[in-house]
Amino acid sequence: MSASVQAPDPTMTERALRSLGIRARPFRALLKAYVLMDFRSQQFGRVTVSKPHDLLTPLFWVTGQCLLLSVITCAVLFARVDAYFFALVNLGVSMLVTATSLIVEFNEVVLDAEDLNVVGHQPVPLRTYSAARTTNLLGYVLLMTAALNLFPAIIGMGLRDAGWTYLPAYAAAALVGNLFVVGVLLLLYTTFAGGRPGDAVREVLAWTQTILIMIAFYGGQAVLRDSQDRLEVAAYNLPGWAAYLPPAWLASFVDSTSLTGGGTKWWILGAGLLANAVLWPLVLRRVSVAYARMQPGGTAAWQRATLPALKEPGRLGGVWTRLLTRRPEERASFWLCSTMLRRDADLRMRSWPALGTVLALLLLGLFTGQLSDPFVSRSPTTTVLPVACLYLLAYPLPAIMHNLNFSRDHAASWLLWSAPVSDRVAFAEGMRKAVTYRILLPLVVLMLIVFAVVWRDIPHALAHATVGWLVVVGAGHATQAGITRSFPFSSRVARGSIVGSLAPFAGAVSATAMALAVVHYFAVRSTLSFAVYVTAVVALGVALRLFSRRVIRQKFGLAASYE
Amino acid sequence: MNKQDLRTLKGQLFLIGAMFAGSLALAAFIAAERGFFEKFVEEKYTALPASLKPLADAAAENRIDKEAFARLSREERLILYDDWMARAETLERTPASLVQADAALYLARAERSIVAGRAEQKMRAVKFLELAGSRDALPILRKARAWSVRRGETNLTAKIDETLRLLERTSSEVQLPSTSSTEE
Repeated sequence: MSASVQAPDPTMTERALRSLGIRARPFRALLKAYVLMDFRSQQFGRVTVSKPHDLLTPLFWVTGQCLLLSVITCAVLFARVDAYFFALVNLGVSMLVTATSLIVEFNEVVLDAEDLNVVGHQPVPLRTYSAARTTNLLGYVLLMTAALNLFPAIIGMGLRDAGWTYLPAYAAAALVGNLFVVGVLLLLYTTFAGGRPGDAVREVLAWTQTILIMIAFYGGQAVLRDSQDRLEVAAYNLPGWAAYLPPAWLASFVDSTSLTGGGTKWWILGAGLLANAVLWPLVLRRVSVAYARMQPGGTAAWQRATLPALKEPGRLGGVWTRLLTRRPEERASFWLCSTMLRRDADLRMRSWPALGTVLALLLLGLFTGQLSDPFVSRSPTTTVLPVACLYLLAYPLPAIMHNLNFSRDHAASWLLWSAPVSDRVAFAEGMRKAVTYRILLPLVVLMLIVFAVVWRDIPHALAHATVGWLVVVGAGHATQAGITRSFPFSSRVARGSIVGSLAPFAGAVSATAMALAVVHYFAVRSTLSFAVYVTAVVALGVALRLFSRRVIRQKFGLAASYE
Repeated sequence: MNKQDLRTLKGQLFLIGAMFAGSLALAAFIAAERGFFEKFVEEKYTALPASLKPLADAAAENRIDKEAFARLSREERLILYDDWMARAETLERTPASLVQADAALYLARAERSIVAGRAEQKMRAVKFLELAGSRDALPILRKARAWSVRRGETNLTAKIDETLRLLERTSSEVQLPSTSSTEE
């Protein structure tokens, strides 16, 4: 007698899934695959410089970044502000970072056209696919929400004007707020923006967390040293318009649950829940429509981006390139480096963090009123930042120029080595100009505009920014002398190669720039001393230029290349 | 759990879980140590330079030289407040003479001390407003009271209540001067 084979009884989850018209087995398989893909996300992998074989995955680093951002924010605010302001800032940061994370990881967590290649020929019903994608998305939002709000929810209980009720109230407010932000974004993208955000937007937003951490870190230090107590006063005299922001509504609910809150404002939480209840069915419908368009026979949700066609040989670069470069070798190098800086996402991702410090300090100075005119003010607290911003421009140069050595397509560099480049000094000059004119000149112009607006004194702003540009040029020549030894993009990117060998040289350049910053700080006190100082900086720049030409001729000259 | 196990999905979830557990412990520790963080919330006062001593002495006797005061920069004027706050004894006439000389500056400065000072500094700032005897101090004190009640600072609330009662009574008995139109 043969034993009959019986299928095991379905679990409660399987029964629930079946009642929703979802097949349990493919649902579980897809969900597991998506969770695995979350750990391997590409955009954050670039930002966190994680490799596929690393033990700590990009998702781990991003979760850690969120926790770090929230703990720094809490440490700065704790004991200084009231519960309302504490909740307002933390909820605002949480909603902002969740929104940017969703946009950055849109493909990984919402909609990926490449799924069609993998899942399209499998017998996976649309409803099952949609359910797996949506569950993965909600899991991702919950993870971000937990990472961004764990510290504020618990530390908030320790505030003078909060009690144990702060924890559940804050947790509910954070969840409602983040789900609402994500829902609105999804609705906007699936309805108006062709289904997904552009690559450039995603890349820029991938840095939001890093820049926010820098602002929190430097801003935190500024708060601790601020003799004007701006943070406490800002929290005390909050402008009226702040009350109209969605995080302020939720913060008002959180604050109302405290013992001195004068009655819990349940209606705010209720309105938030209702808004989500209305929004999410719409979102699910729009997302399902987008999924349906991915099926064979449907219209693709989006088209794959293609690179623009190159210009014809012999006509490289536009007017700007011709104005800035002299010899053909210089022009070719300028065009090549400019094109790669524009196209190569890895190169940009490796190079841009160095600019973050300058931008963070500038923004910090702007929003905390510490950008006084050093020609006029003698207060160290308000004149250090505008001087430091200028000299920090020297800091990114070694990193960016060093990064030009590396490329995923390094094997193609034989083209450069075999090309008839007769003047390699000019070629190296083109590399320097690409970095200084394409990346750092816009930053100097931005500073000029900011200083001119804040100081209301264009000659002072111009003089200040001119020194910044001299620093950039000088640091560029110094970096050439210290780093340029071969054609760009000719080395393989290997672990440690990006920063390891560069650290001592970059440290020396930064230290020299900071020493000059100290001289600058004292030189602005009189017109004569400032004129002498500017002349000395110009002389230093000329000397560095002559020195770098000599070094490049020796180390990267024609004869050396055949060795 | 070895490295190979950590590379699995469960291992990665374990790592993230461990990070959350560590963060939870750190958050609970910070929440319990509010006293440590409050130690850093205090105002630092600039010492009175010899050049400003005659003005400070004159302010203590309510005989401030308006021309000399007008020549002072904002920072120098604030040093006179810092000096009053940092002194061990209470010079009773100084607040009134300073507020008469530059009401907006000194009332806002005292309000800042209530918000951002240590507990003793907050109390002394309230005392400053009391001794200033200005009607313009009343809205500042009322706002500070609401803030203090919400923060559960009972001692400060009691001190503000006392000062408010005193100023309101004086205000109804004697017409207290409004100093809002004082020019710098």
